[in-house]
Amino acid sequence: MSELPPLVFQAPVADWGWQIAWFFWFVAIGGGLAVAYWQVRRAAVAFTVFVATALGLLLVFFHLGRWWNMPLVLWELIRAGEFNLGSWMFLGVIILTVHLLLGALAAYAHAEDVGIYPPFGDRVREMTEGALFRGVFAANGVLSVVYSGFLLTQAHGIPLWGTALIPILWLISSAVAAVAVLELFYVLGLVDERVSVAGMKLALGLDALKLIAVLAFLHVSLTAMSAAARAGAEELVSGSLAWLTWGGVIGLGLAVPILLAALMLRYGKSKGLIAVSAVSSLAGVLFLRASVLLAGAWEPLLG
Amino acid sequence: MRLKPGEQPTRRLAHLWNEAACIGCAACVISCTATNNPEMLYRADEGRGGVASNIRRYEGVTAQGRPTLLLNQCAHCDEAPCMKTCPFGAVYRDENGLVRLDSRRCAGCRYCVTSCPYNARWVHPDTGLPMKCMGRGCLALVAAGQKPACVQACPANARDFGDLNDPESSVSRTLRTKRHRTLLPNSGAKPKYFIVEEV
Amino acid sequence: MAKLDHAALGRRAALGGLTAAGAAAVLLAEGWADAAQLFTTGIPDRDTLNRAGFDLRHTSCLSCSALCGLTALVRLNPRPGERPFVLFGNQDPNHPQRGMCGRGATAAQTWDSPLRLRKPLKRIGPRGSGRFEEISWEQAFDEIAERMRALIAAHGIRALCFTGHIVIDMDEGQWLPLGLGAPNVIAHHSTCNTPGTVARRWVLGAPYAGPPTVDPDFEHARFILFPGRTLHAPIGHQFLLAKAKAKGAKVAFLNPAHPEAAFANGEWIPCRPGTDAAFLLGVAHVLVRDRLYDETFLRRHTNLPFLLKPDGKPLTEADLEEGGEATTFMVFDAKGAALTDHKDRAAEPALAHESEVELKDGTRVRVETAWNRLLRHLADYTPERAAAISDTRPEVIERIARTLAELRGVVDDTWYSARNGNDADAVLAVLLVNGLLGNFDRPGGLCFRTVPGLPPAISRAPDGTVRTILGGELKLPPPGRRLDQEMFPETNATFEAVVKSVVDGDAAYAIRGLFLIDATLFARDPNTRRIQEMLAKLDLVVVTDILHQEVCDWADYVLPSDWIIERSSLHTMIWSLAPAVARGTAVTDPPPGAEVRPLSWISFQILRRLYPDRAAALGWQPEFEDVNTFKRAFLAAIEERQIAALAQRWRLDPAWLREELLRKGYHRFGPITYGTVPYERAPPTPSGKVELYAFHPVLRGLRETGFPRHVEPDAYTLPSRADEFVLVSGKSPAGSSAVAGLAFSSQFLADNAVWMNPEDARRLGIRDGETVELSGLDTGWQARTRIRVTARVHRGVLFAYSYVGGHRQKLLSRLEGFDRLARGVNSHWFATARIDRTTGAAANNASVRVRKLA
Ligand code: SF4
Ligand code: SF4
Ligand code: SF4
Ligand code: SF4
Repeated sequence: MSELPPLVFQAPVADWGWQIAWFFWFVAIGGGLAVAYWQVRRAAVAFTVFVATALGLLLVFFHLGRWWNMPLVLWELIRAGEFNLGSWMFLGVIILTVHLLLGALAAYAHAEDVGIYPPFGDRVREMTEGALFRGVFAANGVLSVVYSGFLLTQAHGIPLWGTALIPILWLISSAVAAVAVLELFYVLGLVDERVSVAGMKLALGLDALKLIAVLAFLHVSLTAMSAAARAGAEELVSGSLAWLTWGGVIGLGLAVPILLAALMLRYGKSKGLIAVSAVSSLAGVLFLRASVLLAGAWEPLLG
Repeated sequence: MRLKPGEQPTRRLAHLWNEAACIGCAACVISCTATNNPEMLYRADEGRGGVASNIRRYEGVTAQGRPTLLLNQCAHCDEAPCMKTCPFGAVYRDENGLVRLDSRRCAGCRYCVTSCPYNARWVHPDTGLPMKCMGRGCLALVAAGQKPACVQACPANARDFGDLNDPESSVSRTLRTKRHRTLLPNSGAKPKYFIVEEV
Repeated sequence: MAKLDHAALGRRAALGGLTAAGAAAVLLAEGWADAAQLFTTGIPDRDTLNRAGFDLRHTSCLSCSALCGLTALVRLNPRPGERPFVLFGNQDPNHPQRGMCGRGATAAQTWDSPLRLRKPLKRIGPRGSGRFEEISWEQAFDEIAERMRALIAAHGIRALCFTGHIVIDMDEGQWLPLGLGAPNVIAHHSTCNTPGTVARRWVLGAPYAGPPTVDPDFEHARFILFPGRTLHAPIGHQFLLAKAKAKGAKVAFLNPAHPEAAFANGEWIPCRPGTDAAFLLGVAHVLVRDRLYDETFLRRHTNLPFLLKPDGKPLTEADLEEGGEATTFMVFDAKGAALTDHKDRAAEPALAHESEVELKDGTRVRVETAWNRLLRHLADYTPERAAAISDTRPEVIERIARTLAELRGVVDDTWYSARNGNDADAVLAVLLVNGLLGNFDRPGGLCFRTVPGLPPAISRAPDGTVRTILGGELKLPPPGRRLDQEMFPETNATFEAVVKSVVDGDAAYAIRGLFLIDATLFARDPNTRRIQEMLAKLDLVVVTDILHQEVCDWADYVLPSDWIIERSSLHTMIWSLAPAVARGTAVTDPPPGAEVRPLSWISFQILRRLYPDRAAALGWQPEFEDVNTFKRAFLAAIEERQIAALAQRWRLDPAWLREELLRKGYHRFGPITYGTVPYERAPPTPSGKVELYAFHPVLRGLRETGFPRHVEPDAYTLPSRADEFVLVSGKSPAGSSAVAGLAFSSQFLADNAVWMNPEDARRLGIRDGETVELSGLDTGWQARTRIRVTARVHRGVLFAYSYVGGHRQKLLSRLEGFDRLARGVNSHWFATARIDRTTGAAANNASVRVRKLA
């Protein structure tokens, strides 16, 4: 009740909020599915990687306060020939652009699956089926997700984000997202049951991992040296963002899928429940990103 | 002038704020806006819910229960995180050791805003540019060999600005003779905003 | 010019024009870069600067009433949309009253504020509705003059009252009331300095009554205790104090709320409101107990050796012999071991003495020196008891007393002191402690101002004759006594007398018309409901101001006057102990579209309609219809004469003086003088001494004792329940003034929440940021406000900045971004209008009950 050190959250100032959360979410899906593509070489997967990455890039582009200045920025960069390779965001832009291109190639290769026969379709398909392409694609998928985590860890102003748990959380949850999308594909008849069964077991394991990671993140933050990290974690656990943590991340994102999976393992599968579980997981992945973003605050300078 | 990687600035200009002299009058806060962003005189910085100034004012109490005040602004860090993170190199160091912005290269991603350990930046509602000390008004003052607006505004002699590389500068002399500190010394940023603790 | 790195902190060398010039370059958005180059090569002279399109102009700050020195960088031909100037404090380190604080810094916002009055307004809705139409100056003058004519014809000129804040005391504010022969010019003092002014008059004599006439010598002080005062104005004193602090000076603030100035290494002694006298009497107790007083000073220069009768009145010659003088006081001559008259130069008056004397009627009475009586008086104020009353700690009282004695410190004699209704005693106690320390008129002590002798532009002689400095003369009968001084003979101005006359009909006659000159009544005067009632009842209300203050909504006519930065000005540097004047040059034109006029021109326009002959006698000429001609031919001539008079008085070349004033913005005619009063010049008190025992109020029957004592605050009902508090108001250096309080930035930099101590908050279960309801224990006024829980306010006390909260002018709801000005409270909603009958002082503090909202 007495004076707390003034805490300034980043969201009202830097505005890294829901739009960035959606961006991260699309990256998680695009990255996770690129890994899945190693195994599941389906049109739906390729298309989704491409579309998710494109949407993510669009979101982040229009999140720029000065997107209209981009031409000048590029021109100045090229003119000066200086690139800030030390910036995760710059690297990220490259990684995501590459991912978009790889996704485009994969989608191109699958065009005939949807009845379109573009030129050089066969050649492209041949290439994308190769281990090299799939390896690069998967690796770049992992990189995009890792990047979106490191982006936060390098934002030195926000101590809550300064933990290596974030890239790990991002990776795990990106896998959760990819599996959830695959399950949805199964429900929609876009992939076969084999994938789905494997997915369900995998999903349970991933959910367990994710739960551990989320709790570890909260624990680490609650006991951190940094007052801002502690205060942010408190917001997540019992403050104004608790609904997001308990309802969104834990409830929707973990409890519901785990419960449904347990039910289905016991009583048999149901497409309806699978769909609910998958959507719920995907929402959880989004909420996880949003909660971490919104809880970010600067270290109080007084106190 | 933008320094090339590895190049050393000729001067290392720095701000001092004397917490033992400051009477919290906010003249510096308001003058900063009037000099650097007169277009914001009747508009709030909505993001931080305050005056659109490069100086921010915080109040608190010490562990002993004594009310304290802190004025903060960009520290022109020697290892400025905002410079490292800007994807387009829009943030740079100049020959005076000041951390500057090339607005032509800024796309408004606000990574510099979240990268600053000192929360020194705010976002201009019209241009989307990340703002901080020093604004263009004060830069012109300094270019003209003058003290920045906040230093001129201060009625209590609580502020100074000068070259750390020059041992004879008033700031160097103050730092040699008076107890002082920087904020979050473990931030790794090597800030150059010095809080002097005795008059 | 001090180059960037060679100006020492503490000696910010002669930046003078320079710095400013550099800045000039800047500010002005476009083109600043070119201009900046101008200044890299050296000191530009004015011509170079002008050729480059810039100028440097000194002015004075009227963001509060202290008139600190400012310097503006001016763009000579601003393009549309460019701001034409920027302001800093005058950078001359030797300036005796250098700006600027946060309020001064808001001047750039005030100039073209959306709240700036731009055209004459005529009310079209009921009073208070804030509905106006814009009218021409012609129409405004014609109609106002017509209504004044009717009012004067029916009720006489005494039914018209002029009130104001600072401007009414300056030349500009005098033309109309003096030209009309109006007796009732009643300024704001009772809500500000009256307790201190009256107390100083009693102890030191009339010339040393006003707040600026006596002050600590800040620059050379070693320790200053500030009871109640924040020293947030004049901020120029802070610059002097900064120099003293650099040499080791210490400061302490005795105050229920923590003042911003205390952030600067100041000790804050939180206390219960209205108990400064008790605290200081505790200090006096220690000084006397431990023999830490200056005995020689007390014996020679104070009236403590004077003999008192049992009734507390001084023993005079008239008591002892037929035909004896009632103004000759008796002392005991230690050398001759006999009573003698206080003017006896050969005598050595004893400090301690007690004996029985025979009065002329044969009765025998015991008499004792005031000193003896003081010893008994102080016996009641042990540090323990003083601490218990003031809710401080005895150790602190002991320590402050010792520090004052050891460092030869000084206790500030206050500026704004009208707080609790018992404040005159606090200032008497301040003067008592300073007297015990013997630290009057010595470096670092309580010193007396030397005025430069700037002649006023217009003045009224006791016989009623009005004269102008340009030779104008107007014979009028003496105006008679002011209404407020009829009621409160000691006051320097008590506006409540006017309110009483209108609202209660409780006066010799009623005021019918009110002329408000920069008078923000709602922020200035206690008990808002009464003020509203008065405003609703008056026959005529005219306001001149620069901003749309809340009171404008109640006016029949609102006249926009120009502001100090839009005109030239020449005035005494009020707060300088050394004789100095400041001269300001118009920094800028009024903002585009503002038809604002000098107050003196407005006055003449009304006067010439009512009494053309009087206007002519005071110097009005038909060509002055053109306001620029008026400024050039009339106002400039006045300034010329004033400068000539100053030059003559100080034996200077007028041309040189004028040039010097232009170059530096001020001139100091000499140093602070020490050792004069009371050593070489006797204070004009009844006894000719520093009257630590005030004779005047005792002789007049106003008080039983001439010593300060603690009495409980009587301006409001004292809180008695757990949810009742004293609501104290005070000034923020970032926004508390009538002008700065309406600045955009004040919404953020001067908190408009009500402060509550964490202990109280915990007890009442109120959280920081929570909204509560306050209701006045005396006025019943109810209002909601946000609470800020902070250790910066003493337990049992609520604190709110004055001027920054609770603005109710209707205009605010129509202005984007100014809505926060309406939040918070105006402490005058809750304050009573009880007047201390002995001094005529009002009180700004109040008591309220706090209700937590469900
Ligand atoms: S204080 Fe912040 S904005 Fe300034 S240089 Fe350091 S990191 Fe950058
Ligand atoms: S907002 Fe501009 S300056 Fe800041 S990091 Fe982004 S591009 Fe760089
Ligand atoms: S102007 Fe000086 S005294 Fe006022 S707040 Fe700024 S640093 Fe403090
Ligand atoms: S104290 Fe501040 S507002 Fe008042 S005159 Fe001085 S600078 Fe202006």
